[in-house]
Amino acid sequence: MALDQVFGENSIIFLKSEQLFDWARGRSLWYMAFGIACCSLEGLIAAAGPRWDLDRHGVFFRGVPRHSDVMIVAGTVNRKMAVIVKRLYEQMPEPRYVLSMGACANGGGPFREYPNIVNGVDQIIPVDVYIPGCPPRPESVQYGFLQLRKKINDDAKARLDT
Amino acid sequence: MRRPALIRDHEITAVLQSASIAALSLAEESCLGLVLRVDVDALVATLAALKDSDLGFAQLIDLFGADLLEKRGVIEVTYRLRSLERDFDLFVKTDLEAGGVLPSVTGLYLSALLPEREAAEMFGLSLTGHPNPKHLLLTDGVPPMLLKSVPIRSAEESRVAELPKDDLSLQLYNDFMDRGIVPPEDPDDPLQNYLFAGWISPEPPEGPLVPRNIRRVPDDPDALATDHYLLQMGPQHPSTHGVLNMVLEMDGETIISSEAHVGNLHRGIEKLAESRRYNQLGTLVDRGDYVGGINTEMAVALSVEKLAEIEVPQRASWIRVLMAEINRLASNYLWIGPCGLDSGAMGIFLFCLYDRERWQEVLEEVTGQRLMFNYVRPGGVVADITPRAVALIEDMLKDADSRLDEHFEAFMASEIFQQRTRGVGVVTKEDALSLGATGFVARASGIDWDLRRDRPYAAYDKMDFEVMTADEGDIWSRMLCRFDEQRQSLRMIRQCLDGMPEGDFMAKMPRVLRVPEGEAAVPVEAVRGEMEAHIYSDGSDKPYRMRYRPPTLFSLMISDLTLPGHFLADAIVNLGSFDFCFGEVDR
Ligand code: SF4
Repeated sequence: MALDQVFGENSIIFLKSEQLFDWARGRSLWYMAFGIACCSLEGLIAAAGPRWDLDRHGVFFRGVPRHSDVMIVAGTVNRKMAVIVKRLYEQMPEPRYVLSMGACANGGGPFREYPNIVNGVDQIIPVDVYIPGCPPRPESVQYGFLQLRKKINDDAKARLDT
Repeated sequence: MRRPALIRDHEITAVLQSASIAALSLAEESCLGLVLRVDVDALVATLAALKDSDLGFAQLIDLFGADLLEKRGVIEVTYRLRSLERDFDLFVKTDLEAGGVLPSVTGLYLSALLPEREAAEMFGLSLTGHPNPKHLLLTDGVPPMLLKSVPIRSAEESRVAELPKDDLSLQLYNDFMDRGIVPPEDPDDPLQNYLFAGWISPEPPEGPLVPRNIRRVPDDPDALATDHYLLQMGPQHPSTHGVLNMVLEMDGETIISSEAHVGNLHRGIEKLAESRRYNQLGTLVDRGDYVGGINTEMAVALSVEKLAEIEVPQRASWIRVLMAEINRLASNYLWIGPCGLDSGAMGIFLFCLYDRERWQEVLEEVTGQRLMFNYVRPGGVVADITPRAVALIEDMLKDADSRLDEHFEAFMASEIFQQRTRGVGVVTKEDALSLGATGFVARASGIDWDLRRDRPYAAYDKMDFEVMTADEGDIWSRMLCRFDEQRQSLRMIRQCLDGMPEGDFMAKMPRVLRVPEGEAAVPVEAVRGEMEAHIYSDGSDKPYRMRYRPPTLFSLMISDLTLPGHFLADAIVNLGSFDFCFGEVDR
């Protein structure tokens, strides 16, 4: 088992429960299957497919917001969609994280001039990691998840130090 | 194949005369073909006369408006009618003043249902005679966006633009969720806290609590009765393939009626096209049909070339066909796979993704991008195919056919899948005609029509391929037709590699392309059906108006028609079989 490799066989570990959870959290980031637009092909479908296989990072899709830890905002959010995105975010259990994927979710992208578009999903929900590109490649999404894991670990460390 | 005789203007005049309708004009317009202009009062009568005539105008292919207020002080509404028997398109145009009233033609052509709503809201018109004249794409309070007087954001504005706070209010969300849901009879009922909203049992329950839709039958205490309720499916639902929101009226497990709500991905492709140069249009239409971008780019390029009378080099035409077919293959894989997911087969999804990635590699090698190519531009293509791409394709072609057979064996040949799809979601030929079906949906319902064969563009006239049709119109035939499309694509890719002529891949083009005044629309067999970019040019370097005909908007109306009477579980497979792409439904 992986823990054995880290700590040696049959070792006894003293941990705060928070520490254990934080450690586990970064390694099972289940995202919500919620593709809005073109980015979802890369970030949700191709990344979950056989070539990139995000599964090996513990990243897997769930159909329901209540089962998910991460929301990948993969696409353009417009005024009709904004309230739904916010609501879905609220339905996710805490701690919850948001990856803003692609130029559209980051700042309106190629459609920023159209008055019906929300220029940046961070106007609606807090964003943890921004992934640039139009569309970002699946590798970028993978990197985004690794960055998110790093962020979770750093937060955990900061909590320990205080 | 012998082409049927074109419809001459005197035949149309005869039809109009027999119905005693006075047309304003009937003339050949340079890049468009025959255009009939009628007064708005005579519009419905004209279309009725044309539909009933023996010219066979059975299909309304497209309906859209254009803001010509600056030029002629009118809003022009165009109806594109098609006669399949005579292989002819007729444009009927009518003029309305600003804020005018558009008479609905849904009584004649069902395919006008959604496009009419769209035209009305986008140009600030009102509709009469329409069964459901609601907003389609925009939320209330947004001005009619396609009017020239409504500006887009400037660079500075788009940097600071903020979402109106009201857009996130709980009220709005509740309104959204309550759309169509019958309010509970007694809101003070304490049961309401126990059950979901809209599921309140009107009579005090005996025994354990049951939701309203599984009431007990009064005479038989053990049997359960079903009741009507409304189900909101989407916009976040793994099986709607995007941000479709279906409101389904259910009776237990059975769907009674359904209404599709769209607009959750409306991002103004048609509006923004008015501020883009001609060779930038590809970036926008790519994001419309975001799975099969090469085909839609080609539609734009062909229309522009027709207007500007650009001669495309032979090699460019062949490369276009090659890339379009590769793109079609890749896109269809992304349809077969999720169809498997919808019907409970996970393996085929992974198989298909694996093959798609391999084709995707070819696209990336040639165009430099995985999805948003902007590769086909007016005049030709951006880059030549590389030796590595040829090697990749040849490598793929070695086992592509056998892999397709394998997929067929593993997925379609399965008895369970056939039981779930045969005879389910049937679209009759009449429905397909009247709802403007094109592409594989039409072919699965027995309409023998493929633009690549019947109106060849690019180098399709030199390709040797077959068009498969089926008569049943069910999910199974749609899948069969598309599986066959895959095989034909492979055939064409082989022919392209063998017969690719030498030469330039791009015509000599000016740095800034200015296009003479006029209108053009070249229909293209895109992945999901017929797509055309109807371009109005005013002589500048940007289109005055671009209409993007979205094939899946029309399939969406068909799906609304086929869902009732089926189980909810079958609805998922049925929806999947139309292959919606919401980038293009909402544009
Ligand atoms: S960033 Fe680009 S690819 Fe992603 S949703 Fe926006 S337009 Fe589509």
